Amino acid sequence: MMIYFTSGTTGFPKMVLHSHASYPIGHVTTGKFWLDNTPEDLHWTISDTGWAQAAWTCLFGPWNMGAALFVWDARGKRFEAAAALEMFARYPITTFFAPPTAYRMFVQESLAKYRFPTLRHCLGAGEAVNPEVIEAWREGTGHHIYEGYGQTETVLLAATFPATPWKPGSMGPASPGHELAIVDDDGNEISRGTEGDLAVRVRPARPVGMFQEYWRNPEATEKCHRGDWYVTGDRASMDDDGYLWFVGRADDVINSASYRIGPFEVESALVEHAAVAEAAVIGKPDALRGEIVKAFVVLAPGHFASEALASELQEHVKAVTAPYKYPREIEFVTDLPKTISGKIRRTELRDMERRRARSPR
Amino acid sequence: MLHRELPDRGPIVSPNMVDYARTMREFRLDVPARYNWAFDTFDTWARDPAKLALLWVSSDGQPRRFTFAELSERSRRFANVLAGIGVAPGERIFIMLPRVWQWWEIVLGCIRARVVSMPGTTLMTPKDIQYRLAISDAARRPDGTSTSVSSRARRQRCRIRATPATIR
Repeated sequence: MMIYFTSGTTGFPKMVLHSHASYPIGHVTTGKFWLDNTPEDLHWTISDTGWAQAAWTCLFGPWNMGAALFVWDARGKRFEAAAALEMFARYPITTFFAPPTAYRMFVQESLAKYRFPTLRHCLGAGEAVNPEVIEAWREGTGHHIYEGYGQTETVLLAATFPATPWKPGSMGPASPGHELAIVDDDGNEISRGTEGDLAVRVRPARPVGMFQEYWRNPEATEKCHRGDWYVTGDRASMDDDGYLWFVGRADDVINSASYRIGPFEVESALVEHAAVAEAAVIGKPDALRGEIVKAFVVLAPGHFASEALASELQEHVKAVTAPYKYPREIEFVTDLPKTISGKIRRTELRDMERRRARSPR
Repeated sequence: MLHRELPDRGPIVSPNMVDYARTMREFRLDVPARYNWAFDTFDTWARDPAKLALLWVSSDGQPRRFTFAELSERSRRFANVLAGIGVAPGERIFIMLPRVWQWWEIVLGCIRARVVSMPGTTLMTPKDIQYRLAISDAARRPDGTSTSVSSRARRQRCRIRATPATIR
């Protein structure tokens, strides 16, 4: 019925095949419980039509519930937070989805200048929304940002719902129709609080919203199934209340001297520093520690690379997160390799480090 | 003004989910043996001829309203166009469009015709497009031309961007 190409953070894009049931019917879960849509809503999703996000919240989710879509064809313009925020006073938008990057730009504006007369429910997904951003948006608009987790291969798998207490930093509990678990390499569930592979139960019953297969790629389809589980490729832990805590993509998690370190946390810590525009963190092979944390840093305008700045950034990370996570090596770069959907290709940075290790200059 | 065209919902009494544990226990999705989302779900909303489906605002700020009934009708016509140019159920169509209202009409039309739509982002380069068309054996690009993509891809992309209506 529909094919989406995965964004290829770890390789060439794969074809994700959905049936007439999986996305259309599966997204009842997304539209009903996460978007909270009803036939009276006007829902706005800020997304390119080419992303699976559009099928989630700009097609099946709202229309399953009889809500109307609001679409602004802001073509050829750079994303302008101010122009987007003005839409809420001009049109009776009631529910709203934006990617976290957009929310980060919105809260830079003075939100008090804008009116949100009909807005009642806000959503974010694609990556974790920084808790400070959620607080700032709530202060400015009166609305919480409900986070959702899922993949092109799935419908909504987990979310922070109005009916579940918010735990800042968690992606919330499983969504209705899904049993999630953290599993080990053999597909056995592991104890609460321990990090492992985030998986969806697909046997004996496969949830309606699961993709059919990676089309024309049985090896890839087989690889993501382990026993009774579909393995998402994301690392996470689950607490005693069934809330999920995201660590990182399995391929991106760093193992340094037996510490497992998620790149997002280190990157977020770096980006909090005024000199840093963007950061990507990988594990660099190291004889002593197995891997060390290495950060590639793009500086903000007006800041210049120096040994002193590198030390300052290291101290900053030690101060805002657990000290063992600080990047032992920092390389200043002008840009970062990315997929066309804008996700950082850490795999490319890792390959580069391996090549360098093989042929020392 | 558009503000008055939607009923005032008033204060929200309760969200669709009020008891998480109970919803987790009881919620089920039914999958009918024969099902087509366009006919069986979308068209249900189209029975109310006035019901708003899409409020689309152009890049220069002009709003345009589409009812479920109008998009139902338009997507039927697009499904007929697909059949007319020989695109069979199960064949793949690669769609790369900005946020023009035609995107919704095309995707709905593909679902009706049981043609496999493959949406892609307008940020793609000719190389990205070429890779996707090759591995999927796509039948058509959304403007109705055949699959071969070469150096024409970038020019083609511009044309699709500029005149999305060429597909109709």
